[in-house]
Amino acid sequence: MVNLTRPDSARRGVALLIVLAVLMITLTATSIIMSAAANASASRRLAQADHIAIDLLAAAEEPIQWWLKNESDKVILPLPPTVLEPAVAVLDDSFTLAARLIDDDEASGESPVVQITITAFDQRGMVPMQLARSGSPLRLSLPTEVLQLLDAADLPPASGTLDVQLGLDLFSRAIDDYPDVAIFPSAVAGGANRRPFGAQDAARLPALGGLVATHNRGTPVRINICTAPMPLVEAACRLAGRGDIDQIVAARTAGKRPDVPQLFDRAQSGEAASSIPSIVTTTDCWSFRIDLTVNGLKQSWWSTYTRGRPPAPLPAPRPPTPTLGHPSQIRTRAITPRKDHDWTCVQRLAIDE
Amino acid sequence: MRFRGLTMIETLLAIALLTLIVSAAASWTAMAGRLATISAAPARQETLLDAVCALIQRDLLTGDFEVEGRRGAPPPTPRVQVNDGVLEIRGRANAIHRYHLDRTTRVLQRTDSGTPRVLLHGVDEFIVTLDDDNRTLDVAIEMRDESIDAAQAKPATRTATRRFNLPW
Repeated sequence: MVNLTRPDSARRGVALLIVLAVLMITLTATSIIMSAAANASASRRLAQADHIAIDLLAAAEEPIQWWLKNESDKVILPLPPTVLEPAVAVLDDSFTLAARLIDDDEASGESPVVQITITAFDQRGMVPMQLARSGSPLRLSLPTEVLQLLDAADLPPASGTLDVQLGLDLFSRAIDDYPDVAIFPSAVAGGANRRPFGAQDAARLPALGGLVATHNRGTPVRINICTAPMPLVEAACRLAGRGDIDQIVAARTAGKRPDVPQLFDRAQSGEAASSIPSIVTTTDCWSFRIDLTVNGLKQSWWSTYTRGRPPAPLPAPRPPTPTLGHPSQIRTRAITPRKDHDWTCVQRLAIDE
Repeated sequence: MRFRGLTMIETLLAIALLTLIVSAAASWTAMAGRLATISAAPARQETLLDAVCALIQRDLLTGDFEVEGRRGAPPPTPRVQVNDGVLEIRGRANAIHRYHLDRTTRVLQRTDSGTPRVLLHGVDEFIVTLDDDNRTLDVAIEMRDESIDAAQAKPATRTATRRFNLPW
């Protein structure tokens, strides 16, 4: 049996107090250090993911240009009644980026997981916004929720003119009052994730950007009957003086291009009015939804491309590193898109969701 | 065996000891909190600076690029201009985003259609250089963390410099 004398227990008590104090100090210091390190690491990872996403946006220019040049003219979409958006999956890929490809000052030693999804939306396969906001019969092909949002939005007076281009961002304020409609359409899964065309996601809201064209202006407006949804094809053909759309449905179901010369086109026959669309089978204006996910950080962009611009001069070669007093921290982002194609990006918007 | 009660001296000693321990713990906790704030400051500043740079990047990337090439139109106003240290980026629908450092209050602001918005406090320098020939924009921001009491700890200064290639 241990005999606890008074001096011994006092010593032990003091020792215990010292141990307690040391433990408290050590634990607190450790937690502070760990918390600071975790904060710094999270901040670095976020910044790195953001920079990679911007680089990927620049890199996405290449597959978009390739698709526009080689595939866009071949697009013929089937006509299931459930599909209302003229959308095509361009790219749906995920991969691990080699750590060595990342700038030294950003590297965290990890290989970021990247997912990139690009979906094309045919501007000529949607109802032109100026007609959708007027009394045009094309307006009737749109869902009620979208019409309500269209009518409620307070657009700038010069919207739709050559000076103030229309854009989906003009609806960002009005959207708060309309929870049943989205501004930007969702991406369409492609590659291994591709689903049968027409298999709609039940939770998918009707989206203004997938149904109403911001870049289909001019007289007459053009409707692409190879990509437009069934209600719009019917309305456009009726307006253009073509009542029988069986030929179009049959051709599209068979994956063939409808025979346009056989169609009676009032817009091209001298009866043109600003409200009568011209029926076309190819498109010179596509919008792309670009979704980039890097280590869980997601960025989405909406870019619109038109065809027919003369090639612009190539950008100047990359300049030397600037000296703003802190050259070691300079980071260079290659965000200059290529301009040596006949498709040009005319508008880019950031998607906030 | 029946436990003997505590004497007055023992009780007073225990109370004094407890008070000592509690006050020591309280002061240590306060000091630990301050240490945590100071140690997290660089990461916080870096995050803020990154956020501002991301905002500038976003303003540069978004907009209309068509009107500049219109036939017969007057020469377009440059999308990016730097006037007296004020960075101006023409965005969508001809809206101008202005980045400007108020040197009196050391506040970096972004003004959209006349409405100012505070981006950062404690900014000492906001240097913007536009290189028209090489189509680049260099931005340098130097800031101090004002959440740290300058009397007790030296505020950490952080600088972020970025080069943006102009995307048009």
